Amino acid sequence: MKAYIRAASCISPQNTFGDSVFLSDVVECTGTRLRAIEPDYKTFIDPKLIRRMSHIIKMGVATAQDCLSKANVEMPGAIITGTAFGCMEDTVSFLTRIVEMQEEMLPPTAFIQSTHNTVAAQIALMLKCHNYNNTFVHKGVSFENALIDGLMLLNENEAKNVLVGGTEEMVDTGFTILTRLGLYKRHPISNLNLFAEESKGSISGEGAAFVLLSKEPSNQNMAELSDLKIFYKPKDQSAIEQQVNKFLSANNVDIADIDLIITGKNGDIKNDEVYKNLANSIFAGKALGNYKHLCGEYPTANSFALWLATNCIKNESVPLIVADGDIKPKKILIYNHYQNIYHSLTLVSAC
Amino acid sequence: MSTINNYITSSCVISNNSVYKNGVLVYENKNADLSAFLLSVYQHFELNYPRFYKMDNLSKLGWLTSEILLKDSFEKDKYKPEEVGVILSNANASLDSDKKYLASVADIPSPALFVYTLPNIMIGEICIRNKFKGEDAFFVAEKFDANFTAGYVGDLLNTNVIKTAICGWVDVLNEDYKSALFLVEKEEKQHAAIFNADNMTAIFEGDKKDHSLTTPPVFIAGVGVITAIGNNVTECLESFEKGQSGMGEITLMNTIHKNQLPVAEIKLTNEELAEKTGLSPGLSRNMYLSLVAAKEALDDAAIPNLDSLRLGFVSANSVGGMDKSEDFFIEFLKDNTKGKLKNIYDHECGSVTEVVADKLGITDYMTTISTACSSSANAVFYGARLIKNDMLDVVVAGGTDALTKFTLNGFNTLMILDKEFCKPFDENRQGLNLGEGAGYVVLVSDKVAKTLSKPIYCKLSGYNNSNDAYHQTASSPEGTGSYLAMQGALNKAGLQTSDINYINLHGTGTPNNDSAEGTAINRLFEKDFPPMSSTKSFTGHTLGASGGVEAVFSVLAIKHGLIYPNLRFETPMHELPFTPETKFLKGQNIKHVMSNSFGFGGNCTSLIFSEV
Repeated sequence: MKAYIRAASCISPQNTFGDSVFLSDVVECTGTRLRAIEPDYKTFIDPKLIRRMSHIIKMGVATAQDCLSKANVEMPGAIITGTAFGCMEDTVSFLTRIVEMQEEMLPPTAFIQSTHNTVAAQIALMLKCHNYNNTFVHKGVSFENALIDGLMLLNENEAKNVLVGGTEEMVDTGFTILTRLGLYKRHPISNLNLFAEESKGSISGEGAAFVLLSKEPSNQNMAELSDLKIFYKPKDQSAIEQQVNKFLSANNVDIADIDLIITGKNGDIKNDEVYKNLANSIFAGKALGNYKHLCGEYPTANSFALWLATNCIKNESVPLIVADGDIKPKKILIYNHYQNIYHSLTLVSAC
Repeated sequence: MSTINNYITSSCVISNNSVYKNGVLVYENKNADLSAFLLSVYQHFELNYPRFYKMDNLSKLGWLTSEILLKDSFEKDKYKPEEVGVILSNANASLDSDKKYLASVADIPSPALFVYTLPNIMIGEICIRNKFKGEDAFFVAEKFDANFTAGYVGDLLNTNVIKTAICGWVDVLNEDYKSALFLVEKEEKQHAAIFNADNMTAIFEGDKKDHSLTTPPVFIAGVGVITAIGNNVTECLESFEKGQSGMGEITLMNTIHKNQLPVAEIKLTNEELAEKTGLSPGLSRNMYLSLVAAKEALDDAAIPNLDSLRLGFVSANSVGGMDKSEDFFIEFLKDNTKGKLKNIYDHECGSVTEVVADKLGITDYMTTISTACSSSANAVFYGARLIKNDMLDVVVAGGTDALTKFTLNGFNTLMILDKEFCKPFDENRQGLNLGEGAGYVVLVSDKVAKTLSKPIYCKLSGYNNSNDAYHQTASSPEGTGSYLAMQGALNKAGLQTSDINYINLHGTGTPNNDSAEGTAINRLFEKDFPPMSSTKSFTGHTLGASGGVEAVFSVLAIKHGLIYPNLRFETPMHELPFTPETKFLKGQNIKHVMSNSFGFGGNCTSLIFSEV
């Protein structure tokens, strides 16, 4: 299944939103947590509503609106989001109050906005869109699942175009807990030096990225989402290689046809071993790019990667901060894995 | 001028012997020529206007389209007669009648035909009927010109020549015909689309939409369920027959609401559930419940050579491992370096699915859906679509949700929990009771269905997911989302409302839900109301599990010819002409069951299961 990517929009710890020139002004940050750069939401959201919205809702709604306006689409045929943690800010806030106030005198707002489907629901509400609306919450492949749903809807002729996004927010409490769980480094590091040292842990990230998928050819289309595949707990490196080869051959693509492979390297020594091994085997000699030093690690980071690949194809160039060399990509493979449990392959091609 | 938005607040398309109102198929009659079809539309919508019989086919088509367009959608009193304009177009003008008149000239020229030899007569008929006196115009063009219509009508509205318009296309030549009318107003309404060429074109071409994949249906081969009224299918059915509900006092959760708020608890401790499932102790209750029901379903299906098939798990939930997170937070909030990490490790919704999939040995595909209270209804039909798209052969689909302090307190802050046992669809209903549970169906492809050694239950014939787009938590008074979900599911199944033999209501027992859902059913079913009931009067509202749990009950209703009672119903709701079924009925002829699940965020889903 494939579809055109008509438009893509992204809020991230980089200057990726609005009129900024594609990754021209890279943001460096020292620490272990990258925070999304928030735009002036007033352009996208009724100021009366902004006040009540959590970080993730604002990022999601603004990105969705921007994506639709870039695509010149007023009413999408479907709205599908992916998020692993959902509305972390409101969840933590309500949970904290239950404990601290011993279940008494609780205000409802945080609960109301804590459900995982809040972002997709708020987009529908804002657009008065009665069409298909769904939210996937499956850990490190939540966004990929949303894409699969969107591709199937187009394949079924249920929609002419679908709005698909990945959203994730990080809050202090979540950051503290996930640091204790060993996800992030225990010492500050510059994001631009993320791959320079070999140590445990990555850096935390967050953001929202939406794409408008359509089956209709148009000179506005930025790229083609040629295929997508998820696989689960591969037992060893050769199982991963098999999956990659199978994926490429199913699409009649030879590894030699791939101009750039964007991997989910995140600075964690164990995590990156998977990519390192492939770089010495089936990815040997290929141009390899990175993105998690730009957006940090989070379960829907692959949505940033798709935004990135789409823009590289559209611009026929790859920023040096992503990959070395002068690459004019026609085909990009995104390979990401989340804690070596969920792996995904995304093929993006020129139209 | 172009920055001023006007809105399409209603649309009606008639073509190919089908009538679409607001994009939804509302009537079809495939075996009729144009005249017979137009008459059947007139009769079906119970229009009483003797003048209709005198009209030519063009006027009949235009007039019928305008009637259906305006019905329930137009507040006539809002406008003065001269503020309503009618702007129509077509390709063949009045050629259809011109030819018939010409044929009559050879003999005795027919004055009755002669008066219809101008296309604008059709506008006259619409205006006479409705007493409209505003600007009108008729254009002839080769094809429907959405850009022109948007510009012309937009100018009339924006310069205040008229305040509302009926515009579009009505064309007839012999047996070829098509009409598409749009009601355009300046104020936005709930289900309005912006008035522009794109939206008009999309609606105009809506009839070309392929309403179902030309793939074989997806069948139900197994079911599994655990709720407060039983730990498996057999026990739940026994409780229904005995009229025994699962509500009672809170015994397993440590909360200040004990003895205050009734809930429908599963009477098994986490230790007992760990023992029963073989999962390690100390996990989230959600994982145990999910595994009990999913395993029952998979065992029930008893699919031969399962190892050789592509097997998936689509499980929904709304709280994930929240029960354990609640424990974690007590220590963590005192000191951020404290709190057992084991208790927060599986906080994510996806963790519940993953642990259960691992135990069931499912690796080909798994995912988790979370759309509040419609979560697992979405999981069921997402599973079916994975099979239709040939990605999987077998899918265990449904959902789970355990009681947590998070949801109990959440719903309590919204003041929608009944302090007594809930009374869905009763005039004096006070709110819902929370429940817990899990329910899964095993979906199989046509090919797999043929290999089964036992009879299949039924098929999933229809489904639809629509958004109410009204409020984050409340349903719109007219139940727009529920209406669209039910109508869409019927459409997908190719069924009429009269085909439905039982509706398993969402029926939470809150004033808002039951009123919105009831209003939508009233509007959609009009007069043929099938038996209906809310099984939440037995199980409580199991939130993200309810769509899966009730899918299982719906499947069993077909298999065993059952209609479940709606407990504690006393007083009919004043706004509804129907009441829920209060008795347990056996031996019924149940061919088609509709199951409704609606949730926060306006997420509305209806499923239809059909006898095979």
